[in-house]
Amino acid sequence: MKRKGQIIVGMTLIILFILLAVAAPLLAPHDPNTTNLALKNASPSAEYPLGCDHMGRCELSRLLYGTRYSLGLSIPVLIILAAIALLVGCYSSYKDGVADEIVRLLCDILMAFPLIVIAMALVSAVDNSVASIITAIGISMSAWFLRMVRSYAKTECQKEYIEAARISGASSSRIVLKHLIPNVLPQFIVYFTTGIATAIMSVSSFAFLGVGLIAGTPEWGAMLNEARNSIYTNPSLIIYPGICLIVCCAGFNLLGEGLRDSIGKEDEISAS
Amino acid sequence: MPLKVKDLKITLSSGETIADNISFQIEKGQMLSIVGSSGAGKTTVCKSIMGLLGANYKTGGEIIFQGENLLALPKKKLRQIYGKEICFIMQNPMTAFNPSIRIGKQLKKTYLQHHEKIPESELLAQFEMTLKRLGLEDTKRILKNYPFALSGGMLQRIMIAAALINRPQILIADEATTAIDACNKMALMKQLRKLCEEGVSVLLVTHDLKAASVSDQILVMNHGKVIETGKTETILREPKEEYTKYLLSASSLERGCCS
Repeated sequence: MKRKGQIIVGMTLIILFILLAVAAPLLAPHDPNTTNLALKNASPSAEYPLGCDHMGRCELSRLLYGTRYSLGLSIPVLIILAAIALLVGCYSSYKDGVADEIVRLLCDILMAFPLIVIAMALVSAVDNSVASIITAIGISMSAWFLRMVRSYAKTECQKEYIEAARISGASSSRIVLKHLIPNVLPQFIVYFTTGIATAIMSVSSFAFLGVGLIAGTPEWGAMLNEARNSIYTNPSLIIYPGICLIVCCAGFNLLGEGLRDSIGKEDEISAS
Repeated sequence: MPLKVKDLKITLSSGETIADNISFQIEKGQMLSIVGSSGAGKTTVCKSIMGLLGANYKTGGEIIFQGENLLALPKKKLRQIYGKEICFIMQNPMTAFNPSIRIGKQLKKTYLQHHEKIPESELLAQFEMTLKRLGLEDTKRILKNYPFALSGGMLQRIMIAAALINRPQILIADEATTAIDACNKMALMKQLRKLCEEGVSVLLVTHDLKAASVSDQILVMNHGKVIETGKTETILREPKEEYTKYLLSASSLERGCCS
């Protein structure tokens, strides 16, 4: 019952945030970038439900648009990465040999660099843009994804149904696509959902540090950074984006944990 | 003759020898048992026949099937032989099925890998007949189920059914009787015997001499070497080698414990 609750709560939160991101232009009462210095640090009112920030921009609108940055940057990138990692990881661990060794080595090398270092290097060497952050997250996360997929696939490859498929005459690509990936997928989805939470946090921490996003972008991390200056005058500004970040990440983590527990349960049933 | 193994030698890339100088042959419609304790190299020999050994292993000698050396054939040709002409029954039935696909679909895939498409109802009827033949009731439910919902003994028989639906010439059964109870074991051995009468050659790998007693010939293995080979009756009644005697006494002891 507990894991079902976790999954439901997690799913609800995720769907809520996705809806908010999609419907942000409809829901937002104001343009998130319109400044109005007369309303500097204004307290909540009917027109500005959550008040205004230090430049007189509508806080609620900025939070709503911030959802777009947090989810919109991390989810699509991670989905593409996950698909590639699944294919490459499963194929290489099924094939074994040199290809697998190269993939393993590549993962080890990439994992040696923390995400923040890769991002800083890219931003300073290439361009201070969103593309740099995405590339950094892509490089760093793909190594972890590949590694997880490889370890899951290795365990599956040792099971006899893979051998059985092989001796019944199935080709390598068929075995990987029809037998290996469907059985690696459940475990990987768990890792993937928690990976999204990590990615959202990473995007926000980069924004907080001012890496990658243009100043003034309505992103939660960037908003936190801007609100730092008014921590004594208007502390609510720091609370709202913080809550959004926590709740959004919690949604993905709850879903991931719930899924992990329920998948573990299934294994127990099948083992008995 | 369907299968002939000549001077088979299997070594690890580290140089360790796993099996050496293994030679035997199975005639059409005959049953050969490879007997030996755990770690004797029985499974490795089977896997080498099926081409399942990984890159770590080196195989020497000859495995001749229909006049061709399986060790030298190209992969594409081998894929047409394995699963169709030579079928393999896995040691561990619990992990031998893809956990995310229903049994019926897995059997269907196995069949269609080597056959032209036939109507679904005909296919199902054929599966049900094969499963019933192996002593499984409630076949409709079985075909609809996922592997984890079935018991080890059931899966073992389903696996045998999966091998049989392609009507192989040679059936290799690696410890096929381990997961089933005594009654079903005897029924299964009778089934295998019956298959022999239909012209299928069976290679049975077992550590259970009782199961091996239904075969025509026995090959005793230990530490990767052939200890003794001959007609079943001769081996069971008048074993020449010490190791065979030891195996026989161990198995009679086992029987003593149970009774």
